[in-house]
Amino acid sequence: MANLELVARGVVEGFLMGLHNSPYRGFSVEFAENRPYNPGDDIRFVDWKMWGRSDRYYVKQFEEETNLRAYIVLDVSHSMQWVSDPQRLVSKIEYARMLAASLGLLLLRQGDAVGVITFNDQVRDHLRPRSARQHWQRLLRVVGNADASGTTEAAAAIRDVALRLQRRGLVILISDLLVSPELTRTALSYLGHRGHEVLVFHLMDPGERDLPSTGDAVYFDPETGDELITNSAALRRRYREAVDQATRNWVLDAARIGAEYHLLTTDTPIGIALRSYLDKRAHLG
Amino acid sequence: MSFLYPLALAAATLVAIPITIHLLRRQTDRRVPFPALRYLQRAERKHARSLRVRDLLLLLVRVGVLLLIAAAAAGPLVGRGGARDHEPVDVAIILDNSASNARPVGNQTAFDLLRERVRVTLSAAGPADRFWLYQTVGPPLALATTATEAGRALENAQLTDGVARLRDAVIAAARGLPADRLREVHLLSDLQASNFPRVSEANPDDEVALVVMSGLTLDTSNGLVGTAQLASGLNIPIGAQSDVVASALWFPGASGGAIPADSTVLRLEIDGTTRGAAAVGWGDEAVFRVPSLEPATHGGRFEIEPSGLRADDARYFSFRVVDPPAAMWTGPDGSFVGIALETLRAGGRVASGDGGVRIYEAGDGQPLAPTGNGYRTVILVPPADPLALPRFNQLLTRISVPWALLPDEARGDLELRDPGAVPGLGEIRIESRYLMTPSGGVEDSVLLATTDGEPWLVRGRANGHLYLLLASPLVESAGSLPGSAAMIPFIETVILRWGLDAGWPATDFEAGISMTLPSGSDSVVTPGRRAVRVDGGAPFTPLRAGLYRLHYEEEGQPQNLTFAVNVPAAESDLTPLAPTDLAELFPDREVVTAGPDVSAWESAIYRNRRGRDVAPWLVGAIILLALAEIALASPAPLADRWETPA
Repeated sequence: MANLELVARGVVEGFLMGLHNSPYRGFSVEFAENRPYNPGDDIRFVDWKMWGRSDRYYVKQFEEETNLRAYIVLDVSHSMQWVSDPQRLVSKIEYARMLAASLGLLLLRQGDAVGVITFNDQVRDHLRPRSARQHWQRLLRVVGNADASGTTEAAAAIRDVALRLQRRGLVILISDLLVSPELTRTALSYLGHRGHEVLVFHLMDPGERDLPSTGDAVYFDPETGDELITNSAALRRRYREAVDQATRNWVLDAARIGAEYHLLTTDTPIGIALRSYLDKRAHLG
Repeated sequence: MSFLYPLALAAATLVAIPITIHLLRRQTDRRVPFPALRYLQRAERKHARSLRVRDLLLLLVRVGVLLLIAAAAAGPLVGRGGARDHEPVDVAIILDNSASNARPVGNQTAFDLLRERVRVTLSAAGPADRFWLYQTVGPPLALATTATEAGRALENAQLTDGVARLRDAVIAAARGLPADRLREVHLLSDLQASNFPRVSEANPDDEVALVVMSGLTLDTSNGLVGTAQLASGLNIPIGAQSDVVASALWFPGASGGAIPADSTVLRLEIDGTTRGAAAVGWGDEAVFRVPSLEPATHGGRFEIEPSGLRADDARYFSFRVVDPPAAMWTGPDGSFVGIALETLRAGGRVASGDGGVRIYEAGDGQPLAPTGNGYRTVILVPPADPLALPRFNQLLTRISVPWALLPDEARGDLELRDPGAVPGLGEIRIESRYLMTPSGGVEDSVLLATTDGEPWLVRGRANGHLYLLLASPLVESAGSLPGSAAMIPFIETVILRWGLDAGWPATDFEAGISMTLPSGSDSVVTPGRRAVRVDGGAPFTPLRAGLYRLHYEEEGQPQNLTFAVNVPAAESDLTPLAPTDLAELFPDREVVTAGPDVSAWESAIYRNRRGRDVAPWLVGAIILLALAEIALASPAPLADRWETPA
């Protein structure tokens, strides 16, 4: 998890260094809690009343005030575990963790409240949206502990999010979308109808996009156990056509419900995904 | 279809490999987790049919490749192959280099064309073939050698002025081939009918095929110098007048073409100097006087205008100018023989003295032997009285003449057969003669005979002497000769022409015919002025017509003499053999005739064809199928593989 934190921080810091306007400023805050003073803390935030009562220095911590509540909906089904080239690539779940952590940190730094829902065929973990800086550690724990297993049913998780988001919010779905397209589409439409903004990150391993030539074999779906005996070399071009058709369908469906769809392969730098988020965030004001 | 290496066909069983793979591939144990299986299933569902077709095509291509590899390795031979595709064979090639092949065919001679066809044969030869290369005139060029060596030897082949004996050449060539292999005889010739003499050995049934090139379009009409004959024989006494007779002949040939002109110009050259010329009609003779020349051998040449075969447009002859021979006579007084000899002696045609010709005319009181101090030739005239005949026969026995004379009861008017050798002899009548009977082994030549076939004048050699024996006494009661004008020419002919040992050469020679040079021979200078070293007594074969110069030693002194070589008469008749006659000439042999063009010849030779080698074509098909296999088995079209995914 520490590794995930480092990576996410590195990604976000590096990403923010390149931005001209800092998202740190311009937010009003409300008091959240006190903590002991540590050398280096800004003395403006020393709670002098507490010093008067206890003769100890405490620093006031504030919960940033925001008008956006975001949910990161993370697919942790078994299919997310797959990687075509372990030497060169990370698995989709690892990529999703880094993406979720980076997004969470970015959201929190912008003063937004961010929560996480992990799911496979049902909701596995839920972290209520908060905007406190410390919330990111909790988010990291949830995300970091998200092992990929089980089958996928995104629709249930999305509906769960819809129920939890009382106000207008942002839903970020990170999934390989090896789900029931109809149910997922319906669920996403439901979110749209409720005024939520939806951002879909469709993760694909490069080996899922361009089929490796592995010859004759029994290909099986690790989630469903379905099998197909074929020669991948013979189907390579046809397979790519099927993948392209599926992604085109997702693009059209996303456009239909006002969602944004981004296809990410696991060899894509996460900064590109963060840029997609910022573009979306800019629309939200 | 046949195969060079049929065992290689066993490799065809390798086709079981792709078939087995094809059948077993659906039972693969290899399991690959793949979450995006749904897209794979979608692609497979959509293109299942084309995939099955592709798989089947791949299977067929792979099976085809293996079958073709096995077939190519087995060396398939299909149909009747070209000339190169044949079983190993021994080939005897007979190249006709006789004089008639100097005739033109287009821009080249028939000989050049025949030699080109030999090259065609050799160029189509296989490594295991062996060749015997014969010329019809001259020694073999190559025996049991490779095509390459035979090709080199072929460059030494040359036209000659000799005559071919083609039937004998074919039989001998076939006999020279080992019987343990396939054999062929190739005959490349202009197929002159006269080159197939009917009298020759039987054609053996040796199962050797004969491939003959026929159909050459050649001019068959021909003019030639027919004869060149000295009236006095090869020896002309110095100062004596002598004539030489020549004729111009015309062979109309197969086409029966018209004679190009009524006459031709006949020109005489002796020792390189023109001595006369005359216009003569075809079939006519012309007589030229031989000029006075120094004692030596001389060469002469008759020539007509170019006509048909060029080699026989000239005819060569040689003769010897000699000192008058010494001649002595022994006989009864008043003998016509004695008078004739005195006349000849007075004319300088003969000289007196011993050591030359001795004429012994039997009669009363004559000794029982020729008298004198020695002689080289004795001319024996029987007695007029039959009662003296036993004594005469004793004389014959004593001097070892293998004849005996018997009285002939059938006296009458007889003529001499073929009397042309002596002018006027055809007019005489024989009233009386004795019957000549051989008394031992007789190898003599009959110079004259009566019309009933009995010998009248014979010549032979006995005890180192030359002898001539007459069947009639030379008296008036025995015939009209003694009192006729032919008597003196007859005695002159008997002494000078028949009575002298002509020496060498006794006659002219024919090109291509082996001759024996006299002992002591050192070298021969050919008409082309090429000196050839020879050993005396060894056979020598002149290949070109012309005058040859022989250098030899006699009693330690270098000597020269000239001898003439001519085109054999048979070579002048250019009538071609009828195609049907070939089969009759070789009744027990497979005879294949081929036209003169290259393709016909290539088709006819090398009878045992193996079929055309199609392995190179199969290799090409294998390459194409392999490329098809690569294209079918490639994971994606080339465009897809080079395209960077978006």
